[in-house]
Amino acid sequence: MNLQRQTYSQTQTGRYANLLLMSFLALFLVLGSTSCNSAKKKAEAEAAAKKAAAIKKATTDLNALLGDESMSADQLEKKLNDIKARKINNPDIAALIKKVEQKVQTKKVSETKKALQDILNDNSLSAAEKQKKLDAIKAKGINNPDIAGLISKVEANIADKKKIEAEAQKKVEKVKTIHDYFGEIAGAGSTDHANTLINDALNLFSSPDANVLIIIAGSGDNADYDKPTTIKKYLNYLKDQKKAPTKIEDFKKDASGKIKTLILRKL
Amino acid sequence: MNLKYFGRFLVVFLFFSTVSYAQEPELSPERKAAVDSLALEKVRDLSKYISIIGNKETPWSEANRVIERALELFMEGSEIGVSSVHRKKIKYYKMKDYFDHLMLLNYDQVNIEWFDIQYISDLKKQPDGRYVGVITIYQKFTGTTKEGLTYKDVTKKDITVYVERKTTQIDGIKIGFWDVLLGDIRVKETKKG
Repeated sequence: MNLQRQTYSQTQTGRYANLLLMSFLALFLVLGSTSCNSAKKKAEAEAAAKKAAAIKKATTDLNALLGDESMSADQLEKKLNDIKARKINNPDIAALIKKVEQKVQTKKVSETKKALQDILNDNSLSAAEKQKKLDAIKAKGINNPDIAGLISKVEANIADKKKIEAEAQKKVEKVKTIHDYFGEIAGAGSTDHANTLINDALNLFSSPDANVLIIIAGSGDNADYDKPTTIKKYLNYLKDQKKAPTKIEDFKKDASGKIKTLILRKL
Repeated sequence: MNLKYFGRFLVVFLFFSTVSYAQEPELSPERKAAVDSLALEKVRDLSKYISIIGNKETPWSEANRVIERALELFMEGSEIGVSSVHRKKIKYYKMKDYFDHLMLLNYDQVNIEWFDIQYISDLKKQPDGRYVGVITIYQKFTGTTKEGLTYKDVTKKDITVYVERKTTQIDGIKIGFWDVLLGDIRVKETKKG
């Protein structure tokens, strides 16, 4: 009987303990679930706020790009790419991005047109320099009929410039020859040798009386000249004075390609 | 009373002088320097021509050609003074006569060298528009006879230089040039070399 009562008592105690444990578990689950739901909601709210802030910032930045007229197309594009990199999924932002892209494209076209016009108009650039600038523009791959037309014009301009440069190079080569004669005559070791050189050099000229003009100062219409002389006298001057104190500035040729007027500049 | 009129005259004279000069602008320092340098170079050129003409090794034809070039440097009728340490009197020759004489000097070897070529009176604009200045030179003359006797002297000479701005048109190019002409060459001093 005692044994029965003891066994019953033990069983009852175990039931209470289990019941208590289950109650704790249930309470934990209920509380835990409530807490998890609230954190999720909080995170969602934070994310929504963050996205709203990002949209607001992107909207401001994109509108600023649309309103700015001081930036170049490249600068605009760089800033636009920075905004795109934020990857904001929003139809308003996408629309603004499209508008800025159009602005970049328009600006690129106008800048490229101007750059091409500059190449056309700048006569101080060599053909090679013009070609380099044109290649850089072509590499941008801007597809526009106006630009294509201008590129054709620049290409023609470069071709003309190359021809002119080739002519000028021929001139320089000829000038070099005359200049070489000047130095050789001035440095000739004997009168006979100097006279031989003078006779050779005279072959480059239309006649021994071809004009020699020597600029002593200034340039263009404001140039000051020494008294005009002839090539024969000037070559003999180099021989007598044993110096070649001038550099070649320009010359004019006659119909047979010989020099009829030589313009020198005093060093 | 006379002084009063003179004062008035002076004021009027100075006024018109100023107006007259104001009509032609003065040369800029850069242009003036270029013209100064050009005139000085003509004298250096003459120095070289004299050396060539006097040199006994210069062929006759060359010497004559150089005389022609040297004469082109001078104004018509210019003279040069010739001196000697052996006589006080300075003889003056027309340039052509001087060069001919120089070519025929009775020495076996002649060496003429000019040095210290410089302005003693800067080029100054004259009322007729020309610029006039004086350049001084020192000439070292050495003549050696067949017998080996050597005569040496150093002579200081003053050369008057005239520079005039002229214009012309050559091959379609209108040019303004400076015509530099040398005037008389006066002996200032002769010493033993």
